Amino acid sequence: MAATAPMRLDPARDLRDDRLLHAARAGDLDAFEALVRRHQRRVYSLAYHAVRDEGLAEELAQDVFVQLHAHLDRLESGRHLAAWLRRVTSHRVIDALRVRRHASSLDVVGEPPVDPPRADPLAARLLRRALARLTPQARLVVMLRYMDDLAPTEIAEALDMSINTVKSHLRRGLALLRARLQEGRPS
Amino acid sequence: MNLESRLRDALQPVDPPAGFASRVRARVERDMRAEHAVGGGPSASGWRSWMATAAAVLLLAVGGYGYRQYEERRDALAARSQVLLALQITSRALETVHRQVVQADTGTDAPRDDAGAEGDER
Repeated sequence: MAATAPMRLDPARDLRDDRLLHAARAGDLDAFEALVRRHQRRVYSLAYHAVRDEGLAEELAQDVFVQLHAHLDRLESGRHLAAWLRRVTSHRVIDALRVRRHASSLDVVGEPPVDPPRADPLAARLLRRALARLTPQARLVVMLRYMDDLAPTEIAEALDMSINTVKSHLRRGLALLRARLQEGRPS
Repeated sequence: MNLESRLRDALQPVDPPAGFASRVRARVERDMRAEHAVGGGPSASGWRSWMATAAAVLLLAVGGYGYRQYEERRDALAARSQVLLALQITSRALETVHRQVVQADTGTDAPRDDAGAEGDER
């Protein structure tokens, strides 16, 4: 199982981020690009799994990093960077999903052209379809919980929600996913 | 595999398309050039600090003017109470003089005993 390690407990990485942040603040674009490379996978993954559209995910992820460049002065340290990126990405993704919901009632999009190998490809596809039918907030709560292994308190902080709302989204989201998985499974 | 494990499997990290970081850098460089082309004017954060400075100056000016007005009003009130006090003192003095004049007049018409005694002593 390739569960991702939490981003928060890595002092060495925070220190490297600190140095890059310092250099990027001073106008060093190579340092900024290095920061992007260090965090692009996580930002892009969050956007991609939420919107299931490579083009839109890249656009959202680019917007996040462009916003990061404009806010370099406000980031206190590398320790805050991962949380800041997660928070900004989550909000941009929720906004994009809302816009898309308004634009189209069909919120289930096609499969990506390239997908990493899965233990159970059918279950993974059914799950992603089921995830796409959750509300934007519920989808982000479930994703942050199982992509980044975040605790409900951290999810609440990232999404500006109360812990009770996060727990409620998790409980109902998992119940819906379970029910849809059972519906979609060939008997 | 339970649901939670399946979710972790379905949500494995995905790499962005090749050249992503370079494209972000190119966008940032383009934005920076566009910002300079506008005339090297202040950025969004620059505008915010300018606005904050202008607001502070305005606040100080309005505050200073208000304080001066307050001081002038306070001085005027102090002057008014001094004039009133002076008028009260004058009024009391006049009253005293008036009483004495009246007493003196009354004394001329019907000399008092103590006035007479005083005259005798002399």
